[in-house]
Amino acid sequence: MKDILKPTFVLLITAMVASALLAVVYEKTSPEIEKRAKEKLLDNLKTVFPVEGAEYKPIIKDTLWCVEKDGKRLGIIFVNGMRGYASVIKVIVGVDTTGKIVGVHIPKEGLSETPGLGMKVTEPWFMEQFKGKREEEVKLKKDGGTLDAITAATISSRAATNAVRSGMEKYKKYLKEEEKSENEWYHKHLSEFFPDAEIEECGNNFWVAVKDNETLGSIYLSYGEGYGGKFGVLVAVKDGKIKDIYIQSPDEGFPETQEFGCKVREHTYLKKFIGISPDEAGKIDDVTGATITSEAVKKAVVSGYKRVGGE
Amino acid sequence: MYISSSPHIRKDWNVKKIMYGVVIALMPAFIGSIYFFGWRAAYLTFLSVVTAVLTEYLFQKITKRKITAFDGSAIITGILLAFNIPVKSPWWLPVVGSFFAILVAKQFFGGLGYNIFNPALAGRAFVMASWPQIMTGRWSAPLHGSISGIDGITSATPLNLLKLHATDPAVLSRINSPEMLKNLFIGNVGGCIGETSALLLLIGAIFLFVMRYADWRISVGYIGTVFVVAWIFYLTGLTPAGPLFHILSGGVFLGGLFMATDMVTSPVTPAGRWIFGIAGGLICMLIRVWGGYPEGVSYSILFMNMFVPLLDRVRPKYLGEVKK
Amino acid sequence: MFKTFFEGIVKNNPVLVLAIGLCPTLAVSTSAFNALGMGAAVIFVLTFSNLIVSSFRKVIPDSLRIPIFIIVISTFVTIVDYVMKAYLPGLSKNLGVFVPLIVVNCIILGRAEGFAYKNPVGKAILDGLGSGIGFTLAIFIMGTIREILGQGTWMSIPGGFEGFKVLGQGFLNYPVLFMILPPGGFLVIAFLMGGMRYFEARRSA
Repeated sequence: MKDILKPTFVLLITAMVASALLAVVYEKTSPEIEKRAKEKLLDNLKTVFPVEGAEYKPIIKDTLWCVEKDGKRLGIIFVNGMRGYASVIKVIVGVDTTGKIVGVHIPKEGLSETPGLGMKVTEPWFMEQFKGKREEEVKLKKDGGTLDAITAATISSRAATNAVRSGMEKYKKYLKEEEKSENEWYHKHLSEFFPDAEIEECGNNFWVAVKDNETLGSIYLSYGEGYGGKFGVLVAVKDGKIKDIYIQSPDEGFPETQEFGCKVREHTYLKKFIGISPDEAGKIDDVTGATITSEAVKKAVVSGYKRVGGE
Repeated sequence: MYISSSPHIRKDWNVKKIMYGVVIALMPAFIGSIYFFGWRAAYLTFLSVVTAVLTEYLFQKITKRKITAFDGSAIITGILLAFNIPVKSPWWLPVVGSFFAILVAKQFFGGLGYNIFNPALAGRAFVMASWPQIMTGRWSAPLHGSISGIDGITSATPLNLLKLHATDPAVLSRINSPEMLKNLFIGNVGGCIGETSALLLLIGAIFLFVMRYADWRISVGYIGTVFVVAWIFYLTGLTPAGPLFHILSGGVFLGGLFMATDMVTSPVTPAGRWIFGIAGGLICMLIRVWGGYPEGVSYSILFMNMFVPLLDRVRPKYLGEVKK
Repeated sequence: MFKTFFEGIVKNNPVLVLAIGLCPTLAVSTSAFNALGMGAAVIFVLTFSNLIVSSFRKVIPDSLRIPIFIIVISTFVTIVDYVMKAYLPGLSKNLGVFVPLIVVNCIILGRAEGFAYKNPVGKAILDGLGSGIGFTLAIFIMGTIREILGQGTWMSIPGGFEGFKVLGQGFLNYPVLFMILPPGGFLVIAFLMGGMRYFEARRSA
């Protein structure tokens, strides 16, 4: 008996002491690590889009930011990657609202192109030449564009160039500020979730309900792809749990069939969502006869929650 | 163990005679290189040979070994190394390459007969890894022709055309044209100093085969495999260039005829030699089609060099052999 | 007493004589600064794990010693990893996975098992310091050779000091890239090991 108990006990003590020690170190260092990461990110954003007093608002987490000053959109910054010679070449690109590149930064970290060759994409002269270029000009000279390739590193130069161009293509729709029409169907529903509170817009399709300087909860709008088309779902979240959920009505453009798809709008179905965390919406049963539509609702709830950062 | 590491000792031939025979066999291509690329080709080859011989001599002198620096093998290494670099290389490139080839790849392994890798190819791999911007980015046109082998396209060597411009219709339509193939065969294209002319290399190699200084099986196996695999790849659309383009371009002839057949670093049995040549040719094509480099000859031979001790076990059963 | 300390540096140099801990040695010796960072991390982990193992050597049951060593070592490695991430993020990015991999570095487990578990605390600490410095010395020499030849600089710090241009400005255009690629690591360590053997043989002859 002693042969079993003693080793167990010793191992337990060792493990406990070790974890306690690590917990302390983690507690001390993690804020610093986070702070560094944030500073680094802001540094990068400032290098590719240097504007005094500008705000960098995330649109897609870690991928897309819009640059705003005094409430006016000046441009966007995106991160895009493309397979180079030996690794994925990541580019950070700032584009102004006229579609011209403000700056390109290619971080050395995590890049393992050949030293002295592909690695030269991180050299200032290579990154500088993107400045002021438009999407169609971002090509190597040998591919009919305006940029010099690195000698003997065509693959890496091409990958970096393509990463910039394809990113510009992918995100150019964000260059224009979306029209904020008060007539959108969801506006009148926003106030229904938190009756007495002030609803403040906080980024893309995301609102926070505030009352007496206290945040009551948040609302996000997310879209699902149903059987007949796209429809919107509004979700109100309070303390990490769904407070209420509203799905676009047929008058507002809900595309699903009256007979089946519309069943997801019924209270008997929607009440299943209330009180759970949006993360767990995937677990809810589907409505018989409207599987695709109910899956779309659940997916919209989960993905929307992820998009707004789980808060 | 059944491994004989030095074939020139196994056969009762004079090392010197064979080595100088190989040097003579390389002469047509050497003279051709002066015609195609000018006197600088001779200058770089000279530097390379002098460095190789000198390095060998000094090493043997300092370590108090028997001086064999003038047996011709260092000259071959020097010539082959120079043949494997572009003519626009700075003067120190063949010097450093030869130095590395002789010192590290040959003498550190015990000298002639004991080296695992072909010294010239090891030297080339070293300069390739160290100065890729020179080795892959400094091509020049031959004095009397176009760098690409096609009139009017002056941006790349034939193999670079294939790797980097393979979607360009102007290239695609003419890559297998008789004009291209003729230039490749004669050697009137851009490329390393001694690799461009298949014709002149072939003349030298036939001399070697007739004198039995090199084994034709390896060469036929190597070049034949490149041809067959290129044909299959061409028919299946994996490469836009036909089999003739593939065997004539780049270093297939130089590698297949002179470097894969190096007696020290190739197998001794006929069966082993067939396998050595065929596998090398296959690897070369795999690198050309799927690898990052446009050319795969040198790495394919270096790769197969490692298998030589293993391939030396491939042999027919001798009379009365008992299975162990 | 100090024999223990110096043994780890020269006569029993973990890298050049015992040929252990080669994985990080080859991987992060691409620059002198990286090598120093790695060496510092190893000295810290080695000294403290030796200290702990030696102080508790009478209570650690024989059957459990390996798992306990691993726990002790990985705790210190994780501490180093966190601290580096927080205060030296550039270095931490450069060393990458090789800091966490110190856990399975055989120098450390080897010293814990082979020395600290059998010797008193003072000696164990000296052994840890000695072996750690021996490792650092070897990796620093390698880093120096590889960085100077392969990059033309010495002691360059990512995002900071450019480094001493030991071989002149002209060399920077055509450094021997081979040296900072993996085969260059093998070549340099072969030369160093050969050199150590050579002098050892001459000294004892």
